[in-house]
Amino acid sequence: MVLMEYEDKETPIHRLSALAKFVWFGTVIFLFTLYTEPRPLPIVAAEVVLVGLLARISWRKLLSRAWWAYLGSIVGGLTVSLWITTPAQLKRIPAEIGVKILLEITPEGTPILGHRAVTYAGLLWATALTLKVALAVSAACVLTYSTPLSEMVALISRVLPYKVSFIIMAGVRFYPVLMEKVQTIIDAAKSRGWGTTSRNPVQRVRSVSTILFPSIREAMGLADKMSLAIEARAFGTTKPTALKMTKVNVKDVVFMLMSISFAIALAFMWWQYGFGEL
Amino acid sequence: MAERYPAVLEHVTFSYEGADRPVLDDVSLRINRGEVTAILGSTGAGKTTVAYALGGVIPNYIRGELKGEVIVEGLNTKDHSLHEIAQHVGLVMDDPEAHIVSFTVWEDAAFGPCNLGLPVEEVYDRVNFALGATRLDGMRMRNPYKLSGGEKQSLAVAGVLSMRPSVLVLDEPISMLDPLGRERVRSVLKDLNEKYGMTFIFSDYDAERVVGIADRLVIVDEGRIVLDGECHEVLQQTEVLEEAGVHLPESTQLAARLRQDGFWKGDLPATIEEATSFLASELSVGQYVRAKGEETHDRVREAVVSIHNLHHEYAGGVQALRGVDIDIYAKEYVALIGQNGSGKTTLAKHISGLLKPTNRGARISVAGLDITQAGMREVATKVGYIFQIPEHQLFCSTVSEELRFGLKNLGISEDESEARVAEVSRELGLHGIEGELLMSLNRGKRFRVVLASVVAMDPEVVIVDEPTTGQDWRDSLYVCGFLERLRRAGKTIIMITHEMNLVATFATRIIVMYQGRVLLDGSPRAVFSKPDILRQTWVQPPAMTRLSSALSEYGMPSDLLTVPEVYDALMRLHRRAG
Repeated sequence: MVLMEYEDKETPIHRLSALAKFVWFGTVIFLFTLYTEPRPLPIVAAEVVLVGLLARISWRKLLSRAWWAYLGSIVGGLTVSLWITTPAQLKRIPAEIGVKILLEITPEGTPILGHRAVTYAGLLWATALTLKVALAVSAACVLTYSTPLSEMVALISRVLPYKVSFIIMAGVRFYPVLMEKVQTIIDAAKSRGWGTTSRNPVQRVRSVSTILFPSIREAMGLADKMSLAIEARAFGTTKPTALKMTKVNVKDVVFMLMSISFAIALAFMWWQYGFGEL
Repeated sequence: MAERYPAVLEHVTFSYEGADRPVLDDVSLRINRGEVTAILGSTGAGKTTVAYALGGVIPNYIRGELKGEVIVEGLNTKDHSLHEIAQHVGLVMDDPEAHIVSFTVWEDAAFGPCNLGLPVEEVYDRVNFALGATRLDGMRMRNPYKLSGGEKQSLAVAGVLSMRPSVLVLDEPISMLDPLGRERVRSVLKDLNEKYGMTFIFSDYDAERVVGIADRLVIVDEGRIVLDGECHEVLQQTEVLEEAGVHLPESTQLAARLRQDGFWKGDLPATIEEATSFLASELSVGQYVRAKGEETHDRVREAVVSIHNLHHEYAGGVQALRGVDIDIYAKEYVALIGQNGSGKTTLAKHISGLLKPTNRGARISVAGLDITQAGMREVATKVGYIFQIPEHQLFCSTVSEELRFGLKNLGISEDESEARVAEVSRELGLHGIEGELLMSLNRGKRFRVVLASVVAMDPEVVIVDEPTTGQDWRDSLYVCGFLERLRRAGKTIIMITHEMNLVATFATRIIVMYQGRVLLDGSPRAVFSKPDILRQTWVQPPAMTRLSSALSEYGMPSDLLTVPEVYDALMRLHRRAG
């Protein structure tokens, strides 16, 4: 469900409240919505790496789990960049440089696709997108690695009713258990010669329905047992005790202020000088 | 009355909704305070229903027709909600994962008290007590899902313990655990009873597992209590116990046989220690009977399964296998044993092609087929894999459809399928129920359907992962006996299990896995005569091996495995002395 699961460590980032880390993550994402070119991104990257280092995250593990997101962003970025071919898409870079064609993919008048080409601005845009996705994934991983899911849910439950937030929490917890059971069902089917090798879509759907039946039965059985277990533990009978796990202290306030100030400074440069715009 | 009996069933008859006959039939039971009561019986005897009735799940959660009264700590379960009852009687189900609701051990234990709206200090007090009592104190921030089986079961106990019940009801708490997990749960329960005087009621089908913890045994058969009394006293009624499908402790079985010959005098023992002490007094030092020779299992020296340099690393860096080299021969009945996480299932999944090696030089072949390169359909013709839970492997609605599922996938002709299905149905006693819905069958029958549908595919190798899960002793013996018949017919059997009694009775070879490597490999006699090495994996030799080893100074061969073997040796010693 999450790329980097929470690990109980004694680091300055782990000791921060979920609220402080959510605010930091929000500022990082906010900055990404502003930038369309990569120049300011190394500054944001430095911030994410610094927080990751303080959280003692395993970068090797992160790379091994998130490589597909990075690869996808490169492919997606490069593909979408082929659409950046007109001066109207540029605000700061001179048109003669920005939309100068480096490699033509399809000539003008090509049906559906139209004129597609690799341009200088397109490459900058693709680089920015790749970096933004990579950094957003890394920041999300730092967040989930250093914050117990329960604290995140507790934070959400300040906004949402207890029952709703519990359902979210149970869903998150239920997911890996269910997936493990579904994997067993798939393995059992495979070991009896079941497979989805047919290219015929109807055959493929029929084939998948084979494992759907036991999977749904399993999910319902598990949900039934879980609901019995939570009912026996007095769920929903009275206003529950709040354990105040999201208490905010001075360190949290300092961290939040630093994150917000950093974001405001970069946003000001973007707004005032177009720093980070194509 | 509540002071003396915290839980009482008075003439309870219960039928599940839609059932044509009651699962409990006029059951009356009074549980004494501070007592540990084990409810024993076969699958479907009514053990779980008794547990659910005591825990208030019946009639509050599971509907049906309930006659009679269930009173817990003075509360009639008909008049009080489940959570009210839960503060007096905590119910722990057989699947500990169903109890886990939070992301850390601490929060999970705190879930109940928080829901009661208790002050924060009280929540902390209760959680600290529950985690301390279940020895989970050092794991407060661990993810419950990543705990071992025994730790998860302990957490399930902690979760209900923090509701401060005076009675704990546990439905088959140790049947799904490995030896280490069983030991952990047993000692936690023992501690709770001895230190805090807590009342326990738990169900099982195996008397061997409850001896040493239970003060009282209640035997249930077809919804009725057929025996109820102090542990030692109930164990004397071996015929009633066997009739009810209860697996007797092996020392009791042995003594019962010896008593028929007049060799055993007095009460039947419950433990190996009691049996050893009596037998030692009857035998004299210096007598000696020769050990029976190793069985010759017409082993054909042709490797059916050949594994070389197999490594497997799961995503996340867990090294599950670290260089496994094994040859398994035709007509072998191999028991794969070891702790959970030792690599048994990972190894079996490689043999069946469900996992691929993560190293370059690994070789796995089954009946000449290179498993590392073959497709799953090809592998399925060579290897049949039966998973633990039958419900995970039922893909169709009726027995008949299920039996044909694998054959259809392999593209076997209708006529051929018909013949194969008819044969396995006959062999596994499924004749006459082909049209029945799978979900209407009991668990034992469902397991047989899975077994039959795999065997119908005619694989060279049959792998069975824990054939005892959710089944009683009789069903387990039936399944293992059927596998033995397959072995004699030329198949190779690989059984993953924690049940050493079954291993001793059926296996021709044991492979002990430990931390991803083969720790021991040999005949059951050879493996079980190395208890010091086995201790690393928490595996205990079967009861009869321990007994014969303890009596070796009296001339007993120290490597006997089963009750008949020990009985024979004792009778020979007895005759010689006489």
